[in-house]
Amino acid sequence: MMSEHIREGELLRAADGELSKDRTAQINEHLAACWICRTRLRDLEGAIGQFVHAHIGGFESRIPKIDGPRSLLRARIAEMEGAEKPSWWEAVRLPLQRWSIPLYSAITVIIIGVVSIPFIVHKAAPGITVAEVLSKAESGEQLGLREVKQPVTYQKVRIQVGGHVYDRSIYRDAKNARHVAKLDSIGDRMSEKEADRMLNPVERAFSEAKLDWEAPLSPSRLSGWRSALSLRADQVRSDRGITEIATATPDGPIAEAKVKFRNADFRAISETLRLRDDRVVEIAELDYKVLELNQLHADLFGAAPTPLFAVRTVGLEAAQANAGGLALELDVIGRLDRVDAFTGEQIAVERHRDVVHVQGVVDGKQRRDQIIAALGLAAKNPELQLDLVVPEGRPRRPTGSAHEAIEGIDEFQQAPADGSLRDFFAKKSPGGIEEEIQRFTDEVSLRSQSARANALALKQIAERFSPEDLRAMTPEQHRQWRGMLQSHAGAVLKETRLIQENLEPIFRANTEDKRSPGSNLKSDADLVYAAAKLSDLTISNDSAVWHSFAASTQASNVTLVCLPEFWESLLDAEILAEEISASTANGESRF
Amino acid sequence: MRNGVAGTVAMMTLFSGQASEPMPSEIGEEVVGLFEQFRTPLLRYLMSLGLNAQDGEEVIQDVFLALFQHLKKGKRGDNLRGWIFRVAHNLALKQFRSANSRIVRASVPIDEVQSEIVSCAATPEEVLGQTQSQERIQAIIQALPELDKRCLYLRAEGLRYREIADALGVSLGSVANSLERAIGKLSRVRERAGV
Repeated sequence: MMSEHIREGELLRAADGELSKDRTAQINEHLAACWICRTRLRDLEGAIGQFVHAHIGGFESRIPKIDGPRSLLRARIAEMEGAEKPSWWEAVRLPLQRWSIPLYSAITVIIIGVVSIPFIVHKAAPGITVAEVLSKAESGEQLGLREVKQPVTYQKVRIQVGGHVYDRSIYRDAKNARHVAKLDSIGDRMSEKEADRMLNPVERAFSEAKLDWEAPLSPSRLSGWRSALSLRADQVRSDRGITEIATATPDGPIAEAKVKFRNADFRAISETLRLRDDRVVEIAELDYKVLELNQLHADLFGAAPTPLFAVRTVGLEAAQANAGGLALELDVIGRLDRVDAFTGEQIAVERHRDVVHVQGVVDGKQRRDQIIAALGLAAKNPELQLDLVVPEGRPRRPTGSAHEAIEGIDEFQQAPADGSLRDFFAKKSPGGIEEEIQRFTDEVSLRSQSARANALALKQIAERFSPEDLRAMTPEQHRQWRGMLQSHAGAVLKETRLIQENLEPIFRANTEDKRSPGSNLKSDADLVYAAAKLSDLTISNDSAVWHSFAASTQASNVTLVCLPEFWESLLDAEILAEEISASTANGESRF
Repeated sequence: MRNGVAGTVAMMTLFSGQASEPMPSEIGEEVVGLFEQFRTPLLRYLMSLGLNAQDGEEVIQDVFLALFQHLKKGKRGDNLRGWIFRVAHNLALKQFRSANSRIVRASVPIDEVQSEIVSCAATPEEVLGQTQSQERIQAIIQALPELDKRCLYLRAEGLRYREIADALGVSLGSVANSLERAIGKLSRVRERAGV
């Protein structure tokens, strides 16, 4: 038996199981006899317990869910495996190394492997990228439509979600932007209304991801969704006449999308979407036909045929517009807009006679490929000239921080809004002030930048067409143009309101709401002017946000976001964005 | 023999193309399994070093992609957990060097930690007492030498002394000394606070 007390370090190592068996036994024997050492050990354990509670508990609420990162890792590994397809020898060697199986098993395995080599060759699709698959699918889809004069597509899909199965039939008249859909639940005997209610959250996820619920397998929409992701991992597999693409991302409402294409014509035949809340939606195509409009019942899309058809088919002006560069330009702009090419890229679209010229500088080769893929068939049009430059040197991936710090400058002064933010968050949540301020400024800055980017896109698209062009557009083309404006104005409106909501409790200055009951936008020219004005407003608003929340070397004591002028400007932007959005809602003219 | 059969089955599966959902290889699945096991402790460790959650997630992705390559080359040491934490630790240090400004802003978790560990059911006097003692403990942790702090954080994530030594590239003796020092100080702070 030991007579002297045990050193603290040994007590700790004994408790941690880090001592030899003999020494541990000696210490245990001593502890059984010595109250003092037992108490010291309990004190050590108490200190460990307190530290562990603080350490684990402090991070508990800040650890994000594992699903997104896990999907991303899964897809990245699969992508890596696709890129580094093992030779048949490696495929055999690694498992052998892992399990060290007896020689006779190894020989058996190798024989199976050699016999199976032809199957492996067909399995992977290392030569084709996700963007290429989507591009081929888009081309195929468009080709099918061209075979018919006035195509209406009929698609029947089976949707499986949350244990329920639904069949949905969709007639789509893409040229006139209209559709009609019918939903049947299978097995559950639900009314169409009940089924609709069940599917509403899924439909919302589609809408948030800018996918089309009325064309759930549309490759162009999938391409647009994928291109808009800031972080993603892709993989492509091909097997037995089917190519499957999978994209996983931590961004947006869809965590992972897997789409299967028929190799024969690259038609999308099914998709599996894992939503951010872990719900899985499976959609499979049961039937697809391209029909002539005149084969269908006249009332299929509602009452009497709209006058759009008359204008489209017999209007001389419209026919000219379709034949010429205007239609191509509008198509190109629509496709570029779907991959957010106007919200930050230096891309310009010009038209001389019938030739449309797209030129600009893009972030990298991959982005260039995305844009070309998004152009689909239009990229192959001889009247489209593409001139997209990729700068030399790898650009930095954008980070989560809205305005990055400038390296090499040491003497930064506090942001003008810093004091107000500290006061506010000290009262609201005394713990974690720094992090709250960081989160707050990042969110406001990002929203402000997003509003500015969308307003810029809005202005570019609005100003791209002259009054003559706008008059020459068919109603469908005009609606398409207004639809693009509506989408960006809606985004500006949403971001501006969220900026207001964020800033209001801390910096609100009294301003008068000058909203008038009626719209001031009476014509296309008003719309174009409003778009330019909105862009100017968002630029100055963003500048005020930046100068209020960014630490800078330039001394300034003025918090611009506190000034009534800033709040007036923000309100003006909101009113204008709302007016543009309302006057172009659903692409319909409100003039 | 059982392993041999498993290997044969895995091989047949690989060749017949059935292992397509969603990872084509067993090593990939193993890596994802390890990710599920270690991602939270790793992220906590990286955040306690001062990385924000987003940067921490990126580091972890890189760790497990490196692990995948490591295992694919047939390298499989007996201390995989130590390897994972070592790579994460090194990548985090690299991240610190490359993005110093952003990390500094995310590295003040003390107040937040303190506010969350105070029991909701406590009386105002108890809250004050707990707050004061937690503040002292947090102050002690922050004042510890960097190595002691890292040893403490890694031990809290369940790493054995040898794994900590591997992860930090120090001797077993240094780990034992660091932990003894750190726990000793914490214990004395508690004693003085009468906790």
